Formats: sequence, structure tokens, C-alpha cells
Amino acid sequence: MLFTTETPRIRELINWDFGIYFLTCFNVEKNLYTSERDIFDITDMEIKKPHILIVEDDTEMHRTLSDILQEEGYEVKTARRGKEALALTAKEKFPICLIDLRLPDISGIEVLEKVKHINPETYAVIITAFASKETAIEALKAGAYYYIEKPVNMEELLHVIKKTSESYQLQEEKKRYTKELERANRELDDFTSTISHDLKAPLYSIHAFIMLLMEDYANSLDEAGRGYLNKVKEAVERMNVLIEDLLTLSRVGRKFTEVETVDLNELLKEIKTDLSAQIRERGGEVIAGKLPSISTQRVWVKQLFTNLVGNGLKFNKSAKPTVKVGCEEREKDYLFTVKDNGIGIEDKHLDSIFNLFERLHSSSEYEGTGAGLAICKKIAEELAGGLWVESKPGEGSTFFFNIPTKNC
Amino acid sequence: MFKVDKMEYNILLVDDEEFIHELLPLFLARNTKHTFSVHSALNGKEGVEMYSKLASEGHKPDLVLVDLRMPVMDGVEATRRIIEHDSTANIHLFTALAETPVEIDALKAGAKGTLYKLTDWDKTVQGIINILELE
Repeated sequence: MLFTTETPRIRELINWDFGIYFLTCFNVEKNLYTSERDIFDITDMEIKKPHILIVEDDTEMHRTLSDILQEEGYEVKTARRGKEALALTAKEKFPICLIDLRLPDISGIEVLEKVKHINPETYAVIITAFASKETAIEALKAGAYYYIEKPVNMEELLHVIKKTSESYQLQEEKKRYTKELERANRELDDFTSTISHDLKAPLYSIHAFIMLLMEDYANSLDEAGRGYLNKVKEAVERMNVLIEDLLTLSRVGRKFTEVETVDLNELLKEIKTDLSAQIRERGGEVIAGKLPSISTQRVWVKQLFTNLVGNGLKFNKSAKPTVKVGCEEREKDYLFTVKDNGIGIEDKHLDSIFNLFERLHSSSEYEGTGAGLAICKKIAEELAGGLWVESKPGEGSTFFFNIPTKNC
Repeated sequence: MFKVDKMEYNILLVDDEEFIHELLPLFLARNTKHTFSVHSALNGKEGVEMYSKLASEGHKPDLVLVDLRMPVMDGVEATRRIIEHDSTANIHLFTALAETPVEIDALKAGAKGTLYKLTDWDKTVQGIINILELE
């Protein structure tokens, strides 16, 4: 199996074009620029030390804890009773709560449980005079992050608060980065969709003018000229398919259609009809086992199965190309398999085949843009599952993907 | 089946791709059944103005083909404004992309359907004739 000489060139060309487009859009599209700037702001931003709520009834202890934490730069609020603490947490989110287990009105465990109920992300550190495994376990079960024994060693306390504060900050950072990443991905999809659309418009005109030339002016050209024109037409058509694939990729996961119950047995029948020309031409067969009905966006699941089944028939030199589709219901998910008796994939290509525009064969051998599996992978991930492959060159490949049953 | 006599149709094409304005009359002219007069607007705003002008001169377009993504005013807004002016306007979207949210918005705004920009112009021309003959 060899990479074609033209595939990397096409990819390079596209990357280059995209580079130019990206630079242009980066300057023009304010929203893109803003989002990039925001990301840098977050990276540079020092995350403030978290606010701490101290729930402690002992006056002296109360003051000592408050002073020592304020000296360390923490902003502190205090409550002497459990109910007072709950009233405060209802009004303000405290990332860290330092709670004495013994309080005059309600128990520290109750405060802890209610605080965690109001704000599950709060890190609670328990102070206990009656340290025992049981109280420790009880506190941890109720959601405490850590516990400290009385008499409180201030050095230990500061260390625990520092560690807790770091955990909180890491959690916040993770949340922010995840949000940013989601936004950046969404914007990248919008960007891809927009430029694909804009690239399609001139291509549409080019194709039309070529058709006019071929139909009305073919006689004015000699054979070589007509040959060149034909090559231009083919290149334009290939470019059109590449753009279509990019568009499809950018649209995966968007809620264009409503979630509906899809009987996958019916869906496979439909796919077999769609692929009937290919199946007939190759003398092949598509065999589907018993499949479930799932709640999903039909268009994407259909695309996923169509691409995988189509590949199984396409990359196949058997006398009778056969693709078997199966499903196993496991504890938490459905595991789908699409197994073929095709040419198989060498180990070293098992990961790279999922890359966009990755092709292992020349277009004269197997047609295609190399976007199909990248689209499949994105769809599988949008369905909260994964897509992977096992293969033996010369024997065939089995593609696996799973969908968590809770998403069905 | 019904028979439609040779007709002269007025089409308003609203599209920012300038070459389309040259191409559509060329391909329509290959159809000898009917004759077509194609009016051009390069964005939604021009489209709305052109529609009013044609309608006031007694040449109300038999079909308005509206692209979706255009500068100055997009196809959704243009559709909304033309429908505001004339709720009977025969607007069809003319787009390369199927089932995008903007297409759905434009259909809600009053467009009667979508004609997809297919690379096969014979099909596009046939699509236009079907729309016009069904009216």
C-alpha cells in the first residue's frame, strides 16, 4: 500500500489555501479575533485565591483561623452557627468551606451536606475534635474533601487550605479551558462551513463555463485542447467533492434535525437500497444482524453506517465482497461492528486512516477524498462514543463504534 | 397531465456571484419551450428594490431566485422584506447547501421552496420550469 504522490500535494494545497483564508479571516472576522484574544487573556490571568467560609463557634479559634487565612491573602467570611453558614452559602458561592463538626445549633455534617447540596463544587474541609475513623469516614462520605483534627496545627491547616485551593483553581481552570475549547471548536466549524460555502460559489461558475465550452465550443479545439478541458472539469469536480466533505465534517453534530427514534434494521435496509448499484456491480453482499432502535439524529447515524458499509465494499478485492453489520448490547453501551472481507489495513496505518483527507491508495485504484472516516469518527464522538478498527491485511477489517445506551 | 403553452417568464435572480447572472440566461436560452427575461440583483437590498420596481412597472417577477449568503442584506432578510411588500411573491431559495438553519429561516420567512445549485444545469433549468409551470 502506497500513498499517492498527489494526495499530499492536494493536502498541502488545501492547507496553504486555508492558511491564507485563515489569515484573512483572522483580520476581518472580529468574533474570531476576539475569541483568540480571550484565550490569551485566560492563560495570562492569575486566578484569584478562593473565598473561604469559616464555620466555627469557638470565639478564639474563630479569630485565629480568620486572621491567619487573611494574612495568607484569602478573603474570609465567618459564621458561628450552622444556620448562619447556610444562609450565607445560599447568597454567595464559597469555593472552600472550613467547617467545625461541633456547632451549637445543627451538626457540622448537616451543614456540610446542605452546603454541598447548594453548591456541589464547594471544597469542604472539616475540623473535628473527636477524630476517629468513623467520623472521618462519615465526613468524607458526606462530601468532605479533607479533615483536620483539633487542636489545630496552624501549619498543617495552611498546608491543607493551600492544597484545597490549588485543587479548586485547577478545577476552575479545567472548566474554563473546556468551555473555551468547545467555543473554539464551534467557531472552527462555523469557519469551515463559511469558507466551504464561499469556495463553492466560484467553483459552481467555473464548472458551468466548462460545460458551455465543452458543449458549444468543442469543435473549435483540437483533441489535445479537448483533453485539457476534460482534465479541468475532472479537477473541478474533485475539488467540489472535497469541499462537500469539508462541509459535511463541519456540520456533524449540529442540531439541524430533531432527535427521533430510528429503527436501525430499517435504516440498514435503506442503506442497502442506496448502495444497491455498488453491491450489484461488485457481486457483493451486505448482511445485517439484529439491530436495536435508538433515539438519535437520523441523518448522522445514516452517514456513519453508509460510509463504513460503503468502505467495506469499496476497499475489497474478494470475489464476493461481503460486509456484515452487527450489534452487541453491553452493560452501558451498544457496540456496533461493521466487518468486511476486504483488503485490510496495515498496522502502521490503523490510526492515520481517521485523519482528514488521509488516503492510502491512488485515486485510480480507489476513488475518494479520504474524508469519510474522519467524518465517521466525528459522528461517533458526537454520539458520545468512539470509533476504532481491527484489521489484517489481505483478510479484512472490522470497524467498531459504540453509543452509550443512556444517549439512545 | 396539463399542457402549458409557450410563455414569457420574468425571473428576478438575487445572487452575489456575478457569473451566475451571465450563466442563468445562457442556460435558460437553451430551453426553446419558453422565453425568459432575467433581472439581476447582486445582494438582498438590490433584490428588494428591484422587486418593488418591477412590480410597480407591471412586470412582477414570476419567480424570484434568492441566494442565502450575500453581502449588504442576506437572503433571509430579503425574503422577509419582499413578502412584506407582496405576500404572493413566488420566492425560491437558490443555494448550494441543503438544510442549513438559514434555509429553514428563509422558508419560515415565506420562501416557497429551494432550488439547489446543482452542477447539472439542465436539471436546474428543468427545476425552474417546473416551478413556473406549476404556478
